[in-house]
Amino acid sequence: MKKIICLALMLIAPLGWAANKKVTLDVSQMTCPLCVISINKALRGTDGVIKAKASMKTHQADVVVPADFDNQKLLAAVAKTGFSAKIHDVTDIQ
Amino acid sequence: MERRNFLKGAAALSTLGLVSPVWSETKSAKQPAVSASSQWRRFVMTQTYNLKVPEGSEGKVNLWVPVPENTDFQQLVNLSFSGNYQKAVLNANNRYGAKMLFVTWPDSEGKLELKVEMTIETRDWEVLKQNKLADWQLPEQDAVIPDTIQPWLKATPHIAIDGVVKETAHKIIGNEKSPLKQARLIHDWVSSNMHRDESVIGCGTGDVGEILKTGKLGGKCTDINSVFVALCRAAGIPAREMFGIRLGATHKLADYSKKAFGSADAQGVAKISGGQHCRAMFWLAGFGWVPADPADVTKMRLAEKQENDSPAVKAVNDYLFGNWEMNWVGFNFGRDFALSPEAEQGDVNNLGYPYAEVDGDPLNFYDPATFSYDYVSVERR
Repeated sequence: MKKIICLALMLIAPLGWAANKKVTLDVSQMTCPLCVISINKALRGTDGVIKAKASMKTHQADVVVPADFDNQKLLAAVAKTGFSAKIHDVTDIQ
Repeated sequence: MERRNFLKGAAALSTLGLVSPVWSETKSAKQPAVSASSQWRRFVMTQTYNLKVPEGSEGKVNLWVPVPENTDFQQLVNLSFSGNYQKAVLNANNRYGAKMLFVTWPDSEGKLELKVEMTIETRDWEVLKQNKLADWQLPEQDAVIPDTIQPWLKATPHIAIDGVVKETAHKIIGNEKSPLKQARLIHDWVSSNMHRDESVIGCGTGDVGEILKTGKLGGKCTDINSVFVALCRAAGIPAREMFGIRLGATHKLADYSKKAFGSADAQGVAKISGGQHCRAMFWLAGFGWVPADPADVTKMRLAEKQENDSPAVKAVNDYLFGNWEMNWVGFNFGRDFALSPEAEQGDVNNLGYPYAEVDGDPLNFYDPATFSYDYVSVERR
């Protein structure tokens, strides 16, 4: 009986999981480590953000958020730092 | 706890087989034409690191610490380091041959400690004060600039040398043909037209194209001395910055300012966590490198609330073209270059400060308390 319940949970559970998405932002003026620090802080401090990492090398920030997250909140968070961002790409992740 | 003693004497990294800069010629470049006094000063600089992980970061920790060059005006006579790191190695594997200590921890949990002690000897570099250029003459034909010096004529992402930079350089030098006099004109233009802006973070980014394009001629030492360097290069004079740190009290310029040029307590102890300072030098065919520091003129002018035409400012300006008082040590000449191993964030603007990443996230090196590091220098008398 236990095995059957476990199996059932394993089959049903993924249907209930909310998938996440990775939002890649272009932040063209990000040219120094302080810019990266500031953008990381702003994105990581935004409600709902699971993970965020900015790169001076690519001038982009990768942000992991829930699938139903409003991407505009990320742009607003970056704007508060004095930088401006554009959404480059959104991909679903499990 | 691991402890190692490296670098005894001037042999430094090259004899350890650790030096392999892409610009191999940098190693054999002519040393500055030093007319330094025989009076050496000896400083022990102790750097204590206890790295703080940025919120939201975790993982591998990498730290690059700049290590002083050996020149005729400064010698690193001893370097030792200890801490709870996984690995700490010295290298100069970058295109400028900039020496650094690379330290790594496998993860960011727990304490991230490092203590570095450097014993440094310095002596004043006074080319003009000691009249060493009295016999120098402008080469009759076009001066030949050796291959080893050519890189110091080129642009980098932060050192633009064309467009507004070239136009400004030509405006400043006019019809003057002597590179020594051209350099003096540029030095004086920079020291009198630029101003120190205390609101700039750290030493400034030294983005010369942006500074001259916007006409906002304020900044700190990297901004100001990089404008000098770029204008020299645009005029055909090889020039470079040297990124370093003030070690102790000024002797020679104390009459002009107690605050601007470096200070220490009665025991020779200086707290220098925020003492980073960038200087500049230019190169004359048939002679070699000549020191300059227009940024410190602007610093003194602000600190002492003086105007350009005050006798004190003029005296400091005269001294700082062609002379350096060595209560400061230079780390390297690197600009816009890749560290080794390469930082995840890419090229660094310069390595005048320590640089660290936790899983690729940079630490704020401009803020010693946030990073965190603490530097103390003690002069041995």
